[in-house]
Amino acid sequence: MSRLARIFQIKHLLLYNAGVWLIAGIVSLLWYYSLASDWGTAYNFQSSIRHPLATVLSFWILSFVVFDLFLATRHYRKPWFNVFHFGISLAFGVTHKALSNVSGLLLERLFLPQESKTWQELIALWEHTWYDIFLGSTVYWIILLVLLALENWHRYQNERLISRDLQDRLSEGQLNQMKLQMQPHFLFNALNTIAMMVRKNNQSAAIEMLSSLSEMLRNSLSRNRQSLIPLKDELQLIDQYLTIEKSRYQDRLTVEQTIQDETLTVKVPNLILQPIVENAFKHGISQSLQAARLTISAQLDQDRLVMEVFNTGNQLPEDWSFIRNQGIGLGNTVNRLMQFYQGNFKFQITEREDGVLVRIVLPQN
Amino acid sequence: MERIKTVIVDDEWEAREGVAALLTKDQQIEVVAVCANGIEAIQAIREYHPELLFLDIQMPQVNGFEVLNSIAKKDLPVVIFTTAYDEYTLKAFEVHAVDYLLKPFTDERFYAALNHAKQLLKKKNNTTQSIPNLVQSRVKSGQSSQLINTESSVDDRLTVKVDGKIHFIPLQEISWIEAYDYYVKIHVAERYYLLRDSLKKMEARLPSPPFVRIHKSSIINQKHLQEIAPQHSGSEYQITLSNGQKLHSSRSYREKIKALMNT
Repeated sequence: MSRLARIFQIKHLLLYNAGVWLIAGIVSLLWYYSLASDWGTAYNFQSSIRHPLATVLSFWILSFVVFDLFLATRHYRKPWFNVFHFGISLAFGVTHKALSNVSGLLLERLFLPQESKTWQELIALWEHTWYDIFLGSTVYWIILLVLLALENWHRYQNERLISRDLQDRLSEGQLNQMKLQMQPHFLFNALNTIAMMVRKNNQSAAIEMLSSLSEMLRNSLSRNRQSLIPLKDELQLIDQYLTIEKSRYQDRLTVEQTIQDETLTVKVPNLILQPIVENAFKHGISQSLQAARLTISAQLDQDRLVMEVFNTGNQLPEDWSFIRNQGIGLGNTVNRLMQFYQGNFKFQITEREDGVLVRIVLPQN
Repeated sequence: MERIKTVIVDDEWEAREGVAALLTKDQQIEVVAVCANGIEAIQAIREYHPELLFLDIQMPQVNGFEVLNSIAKKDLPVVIFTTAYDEYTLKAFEVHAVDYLLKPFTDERFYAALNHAKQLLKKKNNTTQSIPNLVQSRVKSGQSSQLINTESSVDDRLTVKVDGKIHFIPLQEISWIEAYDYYVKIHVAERYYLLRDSLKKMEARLPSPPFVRIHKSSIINQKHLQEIAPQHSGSEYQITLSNGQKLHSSRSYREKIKALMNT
């Protein structure tokens, strides 16, 4: 399989190319044949060696040169590409004229008792057949345009595939996040905490837990979620989650929140911090034997929103890499940021001495 | 009648205090320890030799099964698992727990499990011989070996998990530590522990002195040091430990060796 066929993912590209020239030859032959019969003369089959056979054969051979030139120049910028190929197309016309004459002559010598025109005659006649050169240049451009069309079509197909894949992954990601949020462990442990609070007649704490849990459930069940919400709403969701986690880990957890007032109205993608806070619990705080600390902060820095989530407890595994571990958890978050802000955001995970810090920097719309 | 010594283990405060509160209503039960994690649990069981254990399964770094793995067979109490989610049911049957409480549970369910355990204990005391296979754990934890991060500043020992079993290694017993591909070998008297960790992390974890890095791939305990002999140009040394092990220091750590010789 040639490189071109591989790039366009058309398996039998070269075969199709040969087929096209074969058909062009046959059509041309039929055309001359019918022309001759229109004029009432018999078609001279011997003349078909020179045309269309030699002509088409030369085009077919030279089409490989066009393929290679196209591959070599497809990353050129547009004006350069045009200038380059304009020059080459003229040379191509001349080359094709010469090649078809030579091959025609050789074929006539091979198959006929005598050639119809000698080499000298052909050279003398070139001024009368200059439009053949023009025809050759035109064919060059036609081949080139077909290649460009194929390339664009292929790119379009690719993009469609990628965007569909992205969409699938996005909705999947959102589903996963919900599952994470309502992990059975989390749910049953929270329910157990409530049961224990009721046993102790600690009614207000139990009711607070119940309402937080309900709010989280409601949130995970509601389908029409806005994609961008004020940071205030996102933080409220996190507060509900923290209410539950705080009473679960009340003896060894401290939570600090530093939120600048100006940040509260800034719009952020829905569920942007929540999975990060959950991760902090899943990998850090719930795995730590000592007292643990969680800090959440948000501030404006020159029109950019800087959000940080830090937890003590865990270190990133030795062989951790963002690229490799993207599939899990945080990959969804990054995908969504990509969708909202293209390249215009920062997402950093760094290991501090006693824990892990996640930092997100977003443009302020 | 002697009361039943009981230990409660759960990493959530409300959950373990709740169990303790339920147990105060039973005069026969004496709660000797309430533990917040697996390490505390192992220590409490070794110290108090309880007859009954309420054990949570999912806990940080050392889970309930690993607690049981780390207890000598003769010391194993009667176990009632308390857990939030029943993905472990089968495993719990494998270790022959007397009961398995799914959180949240009702008072009736709780006292039924307790009575069941008490009956079993009575039978056990009458026959004076242990009930065979009451708890017999062959459960592997999956992660083969790792270092448990406890509060490093106060500890005079390393807590490690090997094959789902917790070991406490007193620091003074460690003679040297060797880097071994992706692992480290902790050499203690006649044996060693193989942990999936880096020497760099071990160095950060261990107090210095007495632990000294002498080579890219070895840390020694200076209390086990017997002899230091200069070699070649004098910037490298051959080090002999009290167990006869001979090691070489490398050039880049020569300052540390010099400091060692001066002490």
